[in-house]
Amino acid sequence: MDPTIQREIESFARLYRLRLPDRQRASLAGDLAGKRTGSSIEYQDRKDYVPGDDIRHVDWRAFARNDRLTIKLYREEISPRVDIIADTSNSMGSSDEKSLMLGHIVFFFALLAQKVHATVHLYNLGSDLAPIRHALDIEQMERSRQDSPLPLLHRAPFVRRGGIKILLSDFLFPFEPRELRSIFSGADHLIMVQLLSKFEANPEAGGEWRLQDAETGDFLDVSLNRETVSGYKERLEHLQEDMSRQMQMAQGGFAVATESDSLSACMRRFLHAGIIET
Amino acid sequence: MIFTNPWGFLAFLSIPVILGLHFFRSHRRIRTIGGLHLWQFASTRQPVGNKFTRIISSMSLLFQLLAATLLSLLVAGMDMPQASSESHYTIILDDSVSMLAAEGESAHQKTMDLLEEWADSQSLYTVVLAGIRASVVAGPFAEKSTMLETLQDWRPESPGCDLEPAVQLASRFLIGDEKILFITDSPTQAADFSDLLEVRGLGYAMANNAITFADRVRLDPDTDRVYVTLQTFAAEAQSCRVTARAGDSVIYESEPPKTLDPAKSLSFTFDTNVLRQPITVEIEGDALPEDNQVMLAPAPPKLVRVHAGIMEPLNRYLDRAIAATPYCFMEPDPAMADLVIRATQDFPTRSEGTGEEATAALPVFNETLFADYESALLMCLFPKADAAEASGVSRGDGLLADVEHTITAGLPLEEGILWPYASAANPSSYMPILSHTTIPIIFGGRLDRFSATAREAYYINLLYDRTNIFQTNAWPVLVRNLVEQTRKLLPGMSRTNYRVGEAVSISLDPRGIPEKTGIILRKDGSVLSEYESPDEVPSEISNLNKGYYRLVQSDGGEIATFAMNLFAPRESDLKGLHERKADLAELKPGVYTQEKRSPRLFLVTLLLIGLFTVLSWVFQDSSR
Repeated sequence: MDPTIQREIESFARLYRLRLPDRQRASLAGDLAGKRTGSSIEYQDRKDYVPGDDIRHVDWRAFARNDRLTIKLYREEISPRVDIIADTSNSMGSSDEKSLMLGHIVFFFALLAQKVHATVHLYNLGSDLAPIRHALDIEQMERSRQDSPLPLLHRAPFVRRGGIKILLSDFLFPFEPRELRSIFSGADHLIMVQLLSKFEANPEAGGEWRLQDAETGDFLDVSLNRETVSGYKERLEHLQEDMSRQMQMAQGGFAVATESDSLSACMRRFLHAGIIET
Repeated sequence: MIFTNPWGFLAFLSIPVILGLHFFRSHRRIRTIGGLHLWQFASTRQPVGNKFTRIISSMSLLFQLLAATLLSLLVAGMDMPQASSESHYTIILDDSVSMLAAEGESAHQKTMDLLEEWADSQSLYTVVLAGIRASVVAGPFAEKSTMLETLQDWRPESPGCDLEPAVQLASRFLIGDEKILFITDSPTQAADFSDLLEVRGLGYAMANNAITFADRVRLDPDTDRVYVTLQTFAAEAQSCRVTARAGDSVIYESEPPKTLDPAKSLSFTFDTNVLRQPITVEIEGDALPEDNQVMLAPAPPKLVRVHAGIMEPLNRYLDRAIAATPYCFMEPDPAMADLVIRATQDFPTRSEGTGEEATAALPVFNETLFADYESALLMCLFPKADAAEASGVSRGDGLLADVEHTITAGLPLEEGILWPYASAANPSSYMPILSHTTIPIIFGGRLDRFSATAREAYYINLLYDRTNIFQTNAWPVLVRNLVEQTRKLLPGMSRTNYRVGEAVSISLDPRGIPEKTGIILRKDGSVLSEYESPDEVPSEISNLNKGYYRLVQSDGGEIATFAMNLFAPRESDLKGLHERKADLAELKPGVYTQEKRSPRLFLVTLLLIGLFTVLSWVFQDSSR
């Protein structure tokens, strides 16, 4: 990623935070306490230091007082979990700009998730649901064919678990928004972002075109006149309204971004959609 | 098939030629989009050009392609497949070491007996192991005999069972509504996946004593100190005899036997003058022999010598942090040190009188930094306390850290007050590793000086009379990280005793090994991996099981030895293991459709080629 853009995204991430319903925010602040010894701030016991112990828990002040190395034992803390699922199928690489914008948005949400001290898991929704090590790796991901991601999402165990789920895709595959919501029914909070190319978001009338499906390779011949363009836009708006309604029912948020958006325009869209706040 | 047969390949080339010819006849501009379904309504049946000609030529193309494809496959010697269906079962086996625990028959043996008895010869099986990593051990889609043969070599040795990746891996092989069979000694761990798994529990509760930690440290040139921690996982206190051996000689014996209290672990040490031989520490055998014995490799020769050129009170804090960090010591001679921590005046000062923060670029790190430190590999620089005013304060928040970097790994900065010495807009060519807003607090990197060694330098941009991190746990962690980074730069092994699951980092000294020498990794005497030259040896080796390892040159010269030991208290605790019945007769299999060869279809293919050729001619003639 271009270092200038990376810095810009980092500065936006400092400015904004995920907009979560009050109940989620409360559960994030009051982390769950496990039974095992771990690394939370809740102090449990003390023991002598032996090499191999986690040096972060050396009681440094006690050492300064009596020259004896002791270890503080803490109660294990179970972190809140954020799963970011990025669609990396062929359709998300239908243009270079779209592919780059996907990387930017994933990186932005990963930074926001770190701000709430969550354990962030990134998944690559391509031919399978493989974990991604770092948000910046998205740009180098190989594209793969994915006619519909729903069967994969249905099958992945983590999808039905609690926590915050963020799904990034162009949602240009045939599906029912209600079905998509039901897949994520176990999520505590659900955010979906539709990322479109300039043509997919706002096609202009003019000329005879052969449209090729990036996933299947199928062709469709169309005449791009005023009538067909407005027909397409109507269908796209209908899909977006339906998605928005379903996300509202799930107490979540839905936003649309396009490859030609500047980062600040993208932030405005997210703010307007209510998925982030200052 | 096609590409190994030159005639088939040549015939296959006709397909792009046909497509190319037709492509150049197309008049439409092409655009790739994410999906077509929102455009389906606009599909036009009136293509550019003459409607009749376009349709006819498309049909002609279709038949030409079909004929060419079938012909090329036929020429290449394709066998015609015929579908047949078989039942498929996906099985996850708990690969954690507790499966070996036994007071009679172990869960591991029971698993083998169960599979032998339950599996039928007509079905296919995919077996996934759930250890700390998931892996397919048999299959996918293996027959019963192959599965059982493969599992003969299976021995659960993993220090834990992480079920989620195993379920994810196994899910890839599920067909239809198939359910996964999970065989374990601890069924409760499968509660999260109850809708995907049919769980068969084969464990039973046992009492167990374990060595839960052991290590070996070089105290001085003539003495090694051995650290041992014991724990009992029984309801009542246990008496336990500990013996340590070097070869056949007993070098330590607990007399009287240790008394283990179930409520807490027992740690003790003993010193020995055995320096070069491995030391075996063992307790009496019980339900799980794997945690009753550890082998400790000789303490690492890679000690880090630290020289401090800073001032009080920081020197005192540094001495204490070095005392808490294993395998390093203070070195008074600056020319002998590996790690040098000193003050510098090379930081830019704030603009005088204006109160503006300094923005001058910091000086480029160069070899002059190391002029008085001949053997130093890492230099850590602090600003001088009286050089200038500080630029601001950060209370451990708003920090940006490269958490992947060794220097900042695990730094607990929450309690710290960080008072950066100076603002620097552009810290030369070195990336900041930890910064507050635009002010870098730790930055630096590598200086490539020789091909064989690399030196690194880091600035710690903090005023030490204004920050409190020396009184917090961030300080020993930072010092430990600097020591570990230095140890990485030193040739040879960083440590010699690892716990199973850890990655072993290896850095060979290229000056000590001839370029073309082969390197061999041996485990308990047998060859595990062979590398043709030192360059091929990976810097990190992971997935190693319990055992004693030697890295040797192909001509016999020894490079390093290290031991992997099992320290997994959760696995040693056998009190919670229990049985769980599952109705395996009701386990739903998937239906696996396999293609089998049937040359009878050859004739049909030949007839189809003829038919498509004729149809192609017919439509081609019609379009003229």
